[in-house]
Amino acid sequence: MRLVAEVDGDIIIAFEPNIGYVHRAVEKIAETKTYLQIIPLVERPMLPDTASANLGYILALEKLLDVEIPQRAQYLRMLLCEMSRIHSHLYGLGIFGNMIGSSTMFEWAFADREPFLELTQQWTGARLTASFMVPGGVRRDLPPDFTGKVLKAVAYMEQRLKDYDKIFVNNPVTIARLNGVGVIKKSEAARLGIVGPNLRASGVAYDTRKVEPYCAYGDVDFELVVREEGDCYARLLVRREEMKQSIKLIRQILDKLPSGPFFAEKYAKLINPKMKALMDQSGILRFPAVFSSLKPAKGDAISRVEAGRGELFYYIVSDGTAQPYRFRMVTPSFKNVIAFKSALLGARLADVPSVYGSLDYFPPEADR
Amino acid sequence: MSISVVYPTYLSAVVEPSKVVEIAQKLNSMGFDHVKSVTGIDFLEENKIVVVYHVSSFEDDELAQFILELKTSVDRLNPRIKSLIEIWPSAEFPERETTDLMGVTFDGQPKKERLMLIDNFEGGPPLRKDFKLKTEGIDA
Repeated sequence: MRLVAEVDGDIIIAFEPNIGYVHRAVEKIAETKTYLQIIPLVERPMLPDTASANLGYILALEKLLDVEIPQRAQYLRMLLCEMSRIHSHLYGLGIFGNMIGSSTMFEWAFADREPFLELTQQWTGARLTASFMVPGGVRRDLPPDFTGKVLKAVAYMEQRLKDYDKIFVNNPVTIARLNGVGVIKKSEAARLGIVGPNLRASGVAYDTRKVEPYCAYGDVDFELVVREEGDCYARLLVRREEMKQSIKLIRQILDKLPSGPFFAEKYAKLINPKMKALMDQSGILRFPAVFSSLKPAKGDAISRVEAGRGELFYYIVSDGTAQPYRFRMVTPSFKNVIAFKSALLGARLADVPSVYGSLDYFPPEADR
Repeated sequence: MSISVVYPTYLSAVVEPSKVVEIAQKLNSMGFDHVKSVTGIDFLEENKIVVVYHVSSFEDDELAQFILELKTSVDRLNPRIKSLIEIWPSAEFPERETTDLMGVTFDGQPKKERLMLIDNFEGGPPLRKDFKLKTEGIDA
C-alpha cells in the first residue's frame, strides 16, 4: 500500500490511500474453480483470520445447497472462529505495538499467538489455512483431551492480557501517542461504512453476531464492546476487551457443546459405508464423492459474518453449474481503507503510524 | 421497480438505471446509511452489465437486520451510471474497484486513476466474461 499525504508544515490536509499492490484476483479465479476449491482460495487473503473467511463463504454456499447443519458442527465452527478472533487481534496488536515503537508488545503478542496456532494445528492439521468448514459441517470433531488444552490456553491468555495492560495499554507513552488522535466521529463512521472494532470504537453498536446471529451466536452470552471516543486509543481498548469476550465465549461453547454428529445427514449418507465407519470411529470427515463437483441451485446468495477485523460480506451468483457465475468477497480491510482518508485530516505526520496501527489494516485482505 | 424476497432478511429490487439516484436518496433518508458492496455482473450474451448495490444500516437496529440489493442493467458497450458517493460515501472504493475490474464508469466519481490494477495494465476489464486468464508455467 502507498499512502500519499498532503501537508501544511507537518499537519495533514489531505490523505489518499493507494491500494492494489497485492491484488490476487480472488473473485476472477473463483469463477474457474469448483465450489470446494474456493474454500482454500478465500482463506489466502485473510491469513490471520482464516476461520471467518472460511465460514462466511460456507454460509453463503449453504443457502444455495439447502442443507441442515447439526448443532454440534455449529458450536465447533464458533469455537474455531473465536480462537481465530483472538489470533487476529493478537496479530493486529503486535503490529500496532511495533508501529508505535513498542517492540515488547510486538514480541509478546506474536509469541502468544502460538498456543492458538498450535491448537488449530492439532485440531485441523494446519496452523492458519485450516479449510475446516465444509458444506454440511466441519472436517473434524474435537480430538481427545482437546477441551482441557483450549481451557489452559484461554486461562493463559487471560493472565497475559493483564501483562499487556501493564507494559503497553496503560503505558503513558502509549496513551500519549493514541489518546485523542485519529478521531472518527460516530456520525461519520456509519456513513463511511467502516466495520468491526473500528466502527464500535466510534460508538456504533453494530456486530453481525448480534444483528443477524449465525451458527449458534444467538444462544451464547457475550457483550458488545462499544466505546464513544472514536480515537486510536478507543480502538485499542475495544480489541483488548473483545479478546476477553472471546475467552468468555470459548468457555461457554465448550461448556454447552451439544453431542451428536458434526456433519449433515444429507451428505453423510452418501459416503461409502466402509469410509463412514472409519469416519465415525476417528471423528475425521471423509468427503462424499458429490463434493468434487458440487452444483448448488441456480440463484443468488449472500452472507455476512463478523470477522476479527469486521464484517465480511459474500455474494454468490450461481447458474446451477459446478462453478460460480460471479463471486464477490468484500473484506473488512477493504471497507476500512476509507478511514485513512478522514481519520488523519488535521493530524500530524508523526501520527500516521498510530492511526495505521489502530485501524488493524491488512493490505492482502483489502486487495484480495 | 420490482422487489422480490430472496429470503426474509435479503430483499432484491430491480430498478431502471435512471431511477437509481432517486431511489438511493429515498433509502438513505429512510436510514439505509451505507453500502456493503458495489459490483457488476457481466452478461456477455445479453450484452448487458448488471450493477449491484447491497445496502443496509449500521445505526438503525431494525433496518440493520436487512440487506437490500439494488440491481440495474447498463449497456455492455458503454456501461455508465451515476455515482452514488454523494449519497453513500461508503460507495467510493467499491465503485472505483468496479470501474477498474468490470469497466463500468461512475459519473461523478472524482478519482479516475486505477485502484486494483497496475497503471499500464494491458487488456480489457478482467472481471468481464470475455477476459480469459492466461495460463502460466509448464502448460503455457
